[in-house]
Amino acid sequence: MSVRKHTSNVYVDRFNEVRERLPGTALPWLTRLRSNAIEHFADCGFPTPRVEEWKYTNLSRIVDSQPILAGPSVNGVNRGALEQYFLDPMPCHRMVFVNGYFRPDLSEIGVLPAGLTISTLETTLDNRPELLEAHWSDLCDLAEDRLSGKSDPKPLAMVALNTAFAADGAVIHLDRDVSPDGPIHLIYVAVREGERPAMSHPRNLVVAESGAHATIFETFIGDGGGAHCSNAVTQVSAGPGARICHYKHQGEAPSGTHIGSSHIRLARDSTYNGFVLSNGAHTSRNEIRVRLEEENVVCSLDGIYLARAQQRMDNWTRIDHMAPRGKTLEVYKGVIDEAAHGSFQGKIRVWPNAIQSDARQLNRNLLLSEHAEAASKPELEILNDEVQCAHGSTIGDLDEESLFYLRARGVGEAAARRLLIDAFVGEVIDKVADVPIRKYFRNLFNSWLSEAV
Amino acid sequence: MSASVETVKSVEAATGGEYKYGFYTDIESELAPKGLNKDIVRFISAKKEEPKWLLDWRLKAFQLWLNSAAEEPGWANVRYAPIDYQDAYYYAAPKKGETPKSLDEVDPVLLETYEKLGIPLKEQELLAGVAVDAVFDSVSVATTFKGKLGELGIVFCPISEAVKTHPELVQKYLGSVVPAADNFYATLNSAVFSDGSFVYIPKGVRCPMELSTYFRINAAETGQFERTLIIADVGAHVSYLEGCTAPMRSEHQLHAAVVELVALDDAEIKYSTVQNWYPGDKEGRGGIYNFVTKRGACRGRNSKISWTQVETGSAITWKYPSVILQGDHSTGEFYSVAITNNYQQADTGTKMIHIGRNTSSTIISKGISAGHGQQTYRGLVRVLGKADNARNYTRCDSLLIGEKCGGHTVPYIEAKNRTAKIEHEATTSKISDDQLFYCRQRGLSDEDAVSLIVNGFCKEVLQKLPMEFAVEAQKLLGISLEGAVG
Repeated sequence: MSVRKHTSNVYVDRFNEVRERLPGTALPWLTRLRSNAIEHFADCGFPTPRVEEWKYTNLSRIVDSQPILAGPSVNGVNRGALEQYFLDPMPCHRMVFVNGYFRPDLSEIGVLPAGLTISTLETTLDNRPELLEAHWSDLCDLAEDRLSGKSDPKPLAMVALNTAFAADGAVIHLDRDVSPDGPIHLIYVAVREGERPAMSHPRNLVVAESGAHATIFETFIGDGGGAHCSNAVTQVSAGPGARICHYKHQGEAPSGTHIGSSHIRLARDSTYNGFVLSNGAHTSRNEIRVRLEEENVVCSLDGIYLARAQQRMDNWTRIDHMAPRGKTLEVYKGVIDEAAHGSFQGKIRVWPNAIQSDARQLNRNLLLSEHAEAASKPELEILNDEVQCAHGSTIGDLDEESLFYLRARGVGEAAARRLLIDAFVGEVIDKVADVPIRKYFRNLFNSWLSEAV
Repeated sequence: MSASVETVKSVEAATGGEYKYGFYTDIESELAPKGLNKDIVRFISAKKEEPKWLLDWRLKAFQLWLNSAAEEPGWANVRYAPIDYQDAYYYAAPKKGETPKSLDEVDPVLLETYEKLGIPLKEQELLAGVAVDAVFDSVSVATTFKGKLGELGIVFCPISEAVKTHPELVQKYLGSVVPAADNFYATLNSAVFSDGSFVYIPKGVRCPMELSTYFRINAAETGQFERTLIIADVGAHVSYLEGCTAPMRSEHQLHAAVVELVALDDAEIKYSTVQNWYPGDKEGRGGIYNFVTKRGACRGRNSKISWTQVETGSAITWKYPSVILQGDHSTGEFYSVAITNNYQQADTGTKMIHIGRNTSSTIISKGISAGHGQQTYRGLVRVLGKADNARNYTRCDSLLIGEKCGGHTVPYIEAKNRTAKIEHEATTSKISDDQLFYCRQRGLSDEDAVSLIVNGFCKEVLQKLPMEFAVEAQKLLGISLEGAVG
């Protein structure tokens, strides 16, 4: 315990060093929020597997390596190296961040339709701080469970760390009924900074006012050198009748660490389609909290995790049905090879007043090798009787009968296995509605699969 | 099924639908002083005339408990005011002279109590063919059929007696499945356990009758801490039943039992429970805190352990009957029906730990929540690296009746072996309007319709119960849901 305390003290000291240099120091609410956040983190320290929500995520690697705080970096990345991640051929608004800081030279915001604002955290703090104030304060309330009245800050320690250190990120605002043609692509590149690994804290906010439509695509990649750690927080807020497609590719460098936390608030009649594909980083965690705050919300949340070598991938989701007639469909599938470890922890909670809620949750895991491991904890917490909820979970190897069927028709074993894995994962990728993004994930998966046995 | 509706009705008529076993038997009892300390542990041990090794074992457990006192488990989805462990009696026994040699010597007041509970000990000995061990507060008061079982080499007696007659067996197996340091309540039990049943089925013997223990908490402000140990030797087979009741009282009483099962090669143990401790009144006052550790070890090849439980009582239930599948080809089963009505809370489920090769486990859990009841299924299925071809199937369904209740499902599934095949399914819903409409259209009243649907919902589990219990369980379902509809 004392060791951990000591480790978090290092971050308090570091915070005191940089606090004056962070953007927005003139805003009293932000200064207060930041000091609260660092205190919160100092109290809790890095979450350990003893914290139930972090049961399957082990951060000891980054705790031990004591990463430095990433700063704005200008070297090491050129446009050419990033091109393979670009979406084409499509009009698209692209922002590139290197170690968490916006890089205008690599970005291509393009022509924005009226009512769409794309800017950085720093700029927004200057010219529209009230937009951030509302949403940032809201996130800090999450430690308190409004339903049970209990407060448990520990699971949110990494979000607190982000709140304390966040210096840059994307801020996207869509006015009423605005619907841009192309997706908004946010690319986060992690590069090496000196000998010690660095940690970045990008902080993003997407606000769609009533009736607006937006497609947000986040790509996290690393340049391969150094054990970078990304601790990203993305907040999404959908107004009445808004529709948001939110895709994410976690493809950090093999030695990296990725902690991603998304917080989604959905108003009346809105639709949210989330999809996450993870194939990168040594240790990764994708945390998604969705709140169906008003009536008639439709939410779909899908995920694919492709793990091999020594990778540790954890997926944690929490969906709160807080109002009547919400609908959720969640499908997470994992393919785990070699000595990797994949896990899924998902909770759906239906509040007492959220009548006529319909929630389904499915988690399936394929174990492809002798040393692969999977863990699954699908959880339902239902607090009223007028609901329909179901979940299912499976862990196992490929179905022998299906394999036999293919082999009997002359398909070689390796090809047959590949075909079945393809079908297993493809089903989820096919749900991605935007064609270029679906193609992006398809290609990614194909190349992953071609490296599998 | 209409027969069951009738039984429910007749029982309701006789009891007004209230808790039927809430009476109190006025019998002189012997109590240890209130509170818990080393001397109480010594007192209990001395009362039972225990050998030194057992006293040492208890004292060690007590020390562990003191050390872990800060770690009272708080992770379960149940809420209650903190328990004052010093404000209870840890030993209560009906006063009596010599240990009864046969039923004729048992205090007639006690026999009458069991008669009221629907367990006429005498009658059972003559007719029913079920051997009963009756535990009244902290001690076993009567065991039937001893002679007949003895002929086959079967040992069925209070554990306090087994310590004297079969010390080698008790010493070998006590705490081998649930170690003293296992968890807060098991540690407490290890220090202060009073009595319970001991069963040993020798090699190759198939126990010719159902063995049964009936637990009764009678005295006020007492905790009951019984300990059951069942050993099925190579090729043995036994079916064991457990039932429990307590008087109605406005304060809470603690029941922290430990049950250990050991199945050797080719052995089979079937353990059934109908738990009907006093659940508290309609406002949630009183009732038993049922914090129980039950675990079986399938030590041998082809061994099998099966838990069946019908949980209708207790204010709070905290119970996870588990199976450790150590032997190759061993099988674990868990069938459960749990009902929470009024302000009852239950956090219950199972653990299946697959260690040996070709092991399989099945979990069927049916939860019914009504009124302000809160119910959680919490289960763990773990397949270790060496457990090739492990197979698990889990199904847990929750039925919600009323808008204030809750039904939760928290399964943990962990596999470290690619040949594992694990499937988990769960659903939560209310009784469908279509089903209710169908029944009512055919002239059934609302209550009868619900009773019918609930019985159908639980059928899969109820079928696993031995005959005598199945009937009782069906009645209980109806009574427990009394007042939940309409």
